[in-house]
This record gives sequence, C-alpha cells and structure tokens, in this order.
Amino acid sequence: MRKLARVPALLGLALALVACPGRQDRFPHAVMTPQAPVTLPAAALVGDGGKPFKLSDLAGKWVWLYFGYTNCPDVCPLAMDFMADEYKRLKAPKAIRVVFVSVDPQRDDPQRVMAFARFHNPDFLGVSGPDAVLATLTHALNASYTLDTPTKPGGNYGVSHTNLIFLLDPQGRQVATYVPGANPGDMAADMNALTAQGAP
Amino acid sequence: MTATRLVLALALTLSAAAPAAAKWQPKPKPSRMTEVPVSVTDAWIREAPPGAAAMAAYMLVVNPTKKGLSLTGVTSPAFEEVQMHVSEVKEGMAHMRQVPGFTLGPGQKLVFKPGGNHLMLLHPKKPLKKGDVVPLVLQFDKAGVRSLQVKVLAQGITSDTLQHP
Repeated sequence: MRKLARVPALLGLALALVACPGRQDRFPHAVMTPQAPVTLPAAALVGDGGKPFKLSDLAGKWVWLYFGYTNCPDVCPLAMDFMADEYKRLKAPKAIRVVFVSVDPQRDDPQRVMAFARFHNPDFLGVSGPDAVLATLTHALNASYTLDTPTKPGGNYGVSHTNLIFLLDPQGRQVATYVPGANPGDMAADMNALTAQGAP
Repeated sequence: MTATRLVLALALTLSAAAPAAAKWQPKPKPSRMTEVPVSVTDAWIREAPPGAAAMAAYMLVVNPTKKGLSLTGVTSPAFEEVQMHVSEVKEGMAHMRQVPGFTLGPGQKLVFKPGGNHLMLLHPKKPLKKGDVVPLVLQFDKAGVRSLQVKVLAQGITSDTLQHP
C-alpha cells in the first residue's frame, strides 16, 4: 500500500522535472546561473528626465541589465553594441527591456545616461541613482564598481566596473548572467527559447 | 681677377670647407615634425552619442624600420586631450588604465582595438558624427611624428568586421 502511494508522488516529481527544467537548461548560454533566483532590493533609481525609476516598474518583462558609465569610450560601447546586436535577433523584443545603469552619477546626469543608452538602440533605457542605491543594487548582484583616481587633480577618471549582463526574469529576479562579446546570437537564442515557450 | 673668376674661387673655397665644417657643427636634431615612416592602417574613431565627453580611436601601427620606436604621445586639434589607454577585463571586471606610451621594436606591430589598447579622445571641441574626418598626430619621441586623418565610423563596427575605411 505504501509502495503504491509512492507511484503518484514519483509521477508528480517526474512531471515537475519535465515542466521545470534546471536553470542551466533554461539559460544554456549563460556564463553563470544563481543557485536560486536572486531577489533584488527595491533600488530607488533615477530615470528619464530625472523621474524616479525602479526595476520593479518593468515587472512582467525580462530585463538585460548592464552597469557602466558614459565616459567609458571602449568597453561600455562594446557591451552596448553587443546587446543591440542581440536585441535585433529577438523574435519577441517587446518581452524584454534593456537597461544601462550608470555607476558614475557625478558625471552622468539622467539626460546623458538616457542619450547614451538610446544611441545604441532607441528602445534601451539609461538610468542611474545615488551612490548608496547603486552600491546596494550592485552588491545584490555580486557586481561592483570603483572610481579610479584621476592622474591629475580634477582630471579625467575611469571607473572599474563589472562587465557582465544580468538577466532578470519578469518577477524582477536575477536568473542568469551573460558575458558581453560572447558568441553572437547565443544570448538572444536563450531569450527566444524562453519567449517561444511562453515563459515565465 | 674677373668677377667670374672671383665667384669660381669662392665656390671652390666653400666646397672645400664644407666637409670640415660638418665635423664640428652639431648634427641637427630631427624636427619635431619629421614624419616617421610608420605604417598606420584600419584607423577609425567610434561614433559616440551627441555630447559625449570621451571617444575612442583604433588602428594598426607597424614599425617597418630597423630601429625601435616609442609612441610617447598623441595630439589632435579636434580634442582637448588624447590619452593612451589599455582596457582589461579580468574575472568579469573591466578596468581602463592610462599608459605613458608604447614601444615598437623593429618590424613590430601595435594593435589598438576595441576592448584592448585604444586612444582615448577627451572633450571634442565640436560634436563629431559618423563620416567626419579628424586629424591625429602620433608623436614618436624624438624620432618624429606620424600624421593621419581618421574617419568617425558608426557604432557596431568591430576590428573583425572592419576592412579599410
């Protein structure tokens, strides 16, 4: 009797495994997937025209999130170009938003950040926020940034920053991480597979 | 002595004196503007959003001479400052490091490409857009300079897709 009772349970487990494949299976081209989806803090960012912006404003959409700064002439445009190229390959681009977060709010006002993001694709969003908010958000994603010391007082400075693309699910949780510049089409392929399945 | 003979005599005297004079006269230093025969190909500037404070230039520099050269500075009348930078991505972190210059051994090449070495062009004096051409001067220490005209190209172009702008 006890053995028979196990059958539906095992069947249920098997069905659950089929219905909910492992995270790595859902994001086969991700460089990393967290053990469990990472819930992000309610970071009070600043968006278009200086209006308040929260990542939760994008609930219901997938998000590709990237941290950088607009005075970055090399690595950040390269990552943005990469995301723009992947974005063009999406079969359901309306299911995703691409968000560039500046970690250099001293120099990057909301207009500058938005212009930088939209320059790469008019659908992209550019946001920033106070240092304390950025620190909390990056920490939650295991990301970081540091302002470098200028070579002369008041001179130009660089910002060292995490160069990864974080995928947030429609609940706003981080579920995978991608590397900018990886094999073209791979990141879009993961997204296309998810949207084709009607995920989440 | 006729005037013709006088001129001839003077010319002979001068020609005889010339090699001797060369012995004690200091060898003239190469002018700062001496063009060095360095090959520069695939040079381009990445188009940036309007109002951008920093842009990047890329190129392939080859030293075909039998002497080593040092790239010690870059200037452009179109920008307030040009710096030489190296981008590095280590364990997911991007770092940008300013360097004082690069050395180019005989026959060596120096690659400036996205995500690696690049020239950081700071504060354009007027907004630049795709198709604009910008003069750049590479200073090779005391050996001289290499002047070039570099075109601003659209975003999304990488050194892999770049042919000859």
